[in-house]
Amino acid sequence: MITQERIVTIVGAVLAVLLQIILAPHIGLFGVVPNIIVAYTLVVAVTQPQSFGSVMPFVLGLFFDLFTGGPVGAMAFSLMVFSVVAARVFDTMNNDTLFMPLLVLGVGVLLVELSYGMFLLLFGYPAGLFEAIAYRVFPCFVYDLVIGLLLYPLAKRFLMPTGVPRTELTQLR
Amino acid sequence: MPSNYQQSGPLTRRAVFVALLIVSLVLATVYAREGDGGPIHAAQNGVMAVTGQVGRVGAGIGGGTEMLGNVADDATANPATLTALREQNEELRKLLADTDEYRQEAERLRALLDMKQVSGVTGQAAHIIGRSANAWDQSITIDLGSADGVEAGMTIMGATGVIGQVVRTADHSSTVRLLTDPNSGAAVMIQSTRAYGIVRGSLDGLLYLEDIDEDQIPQVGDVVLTSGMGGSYERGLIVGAVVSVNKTTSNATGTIVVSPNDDASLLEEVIVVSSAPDMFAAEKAEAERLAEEEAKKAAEEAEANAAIYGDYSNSSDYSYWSAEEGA
Repeated sequence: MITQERIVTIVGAVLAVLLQIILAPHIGLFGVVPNIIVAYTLVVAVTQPQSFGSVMPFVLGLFFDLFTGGPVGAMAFSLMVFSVVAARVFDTMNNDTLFMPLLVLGVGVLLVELSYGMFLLLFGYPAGLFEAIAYRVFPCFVYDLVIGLLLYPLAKRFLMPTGVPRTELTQLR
Repeated sequence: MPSNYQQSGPLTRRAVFVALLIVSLVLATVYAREGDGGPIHAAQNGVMAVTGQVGRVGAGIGGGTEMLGNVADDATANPATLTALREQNEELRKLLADTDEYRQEAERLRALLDMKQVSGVTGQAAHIIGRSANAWDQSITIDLGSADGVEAGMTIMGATGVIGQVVRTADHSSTVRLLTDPNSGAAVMIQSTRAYGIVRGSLDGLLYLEDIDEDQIPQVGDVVLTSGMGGSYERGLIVGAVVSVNKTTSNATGTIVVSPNDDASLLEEVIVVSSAPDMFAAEKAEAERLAEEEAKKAAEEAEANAAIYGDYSNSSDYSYWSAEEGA
């Protein structure tokens, strides 16, 4: 069944891809281009943890690999693994505070960027590990996290499943 | 998408997850092993060609949304406040902005033209229509492609120097890898010492001069030109200048940093160089002249030697030597 959340999630995913192609290259700072796709996927993972699957991050990651010229499969793998793990971890540890989604979002973004960087180095990217972390992984993590923090309130507004809130369900049980 | 999983069981979820995990790893492995002409690379080139055009459309969308905004403003404004003067003012403002935009573009194009005239390179001017959407890749997309005669390997220049090289072409667009990309490497020469080396990009955005002879370390301010070695870049084009030379005990040649003449992030137009004049022609002619003189001198010496020793060598009679010795 196609729910409203599902439609909004798909529209959001398409927008994230378009923004990554059109907007992201023009808002780079010191050579660091934000990854709106990573930020969006992880925001969806912490706003819809129970229904979050592996197809959307795989497809978005694959798109990213294809249109950026990177090794095909690297972002698909990294984004799928760490966003699914983030959704499961958040689903288990959610305590209805603002801290938990932000923590999971931050750690998730960092792991995706780190994993993608490791893939590139494995594929022969001419840089050292320290250099890669200092000049790309960490700055990208910070930039993606900022984008994620901007997207989170929007996602909470439009992507949160309608119905009984989780806290009330817990209380009922 | 997510909601599929809401209804599916955990087993199906895990099965899909594992299947996609395998697919992504297989894709990555095949991508790494296949050549540039492989099916995954071909698919990637196709997608990049399309997204290159999307990037070009992006500029149009910007202008279109601005126009739509104006239309919406006009439609919703109070008629009393929409005086003829304000309309005229808006129009003039827009005209001024447009004129300023054209003036700036004309200035940039004139700088490119000046560079072409000064350096004598021949090539086509191209607009930058896109930039890399990946932080690990320093590249730009230009609006000329294979249909315009652009080929992989061609040198790209800004208004004052080399900025990169074409790595991929589509029909009407090309991807240019910038010199600052860590995957870039340009064979260069120090203008003053004629020492050869390689300029490489890095993640920190600097250009490093490597593989240079220990006894030919450049000085700060030395100009760096492309040497044309290996045929990767056109010969004799300016890359930049040496800005720092830090010798260390572990590295005899030290770390030599080159400041590029042009910053690609500030450019909007570039030149696709199809040929550059041989800036070393005078040097080559001088070397040829010297070699010719040497050869001439050697020939004369040989002739003189032949004149002196010719009789000895022609003589097969040992009595000559005996007579000489006897005398």
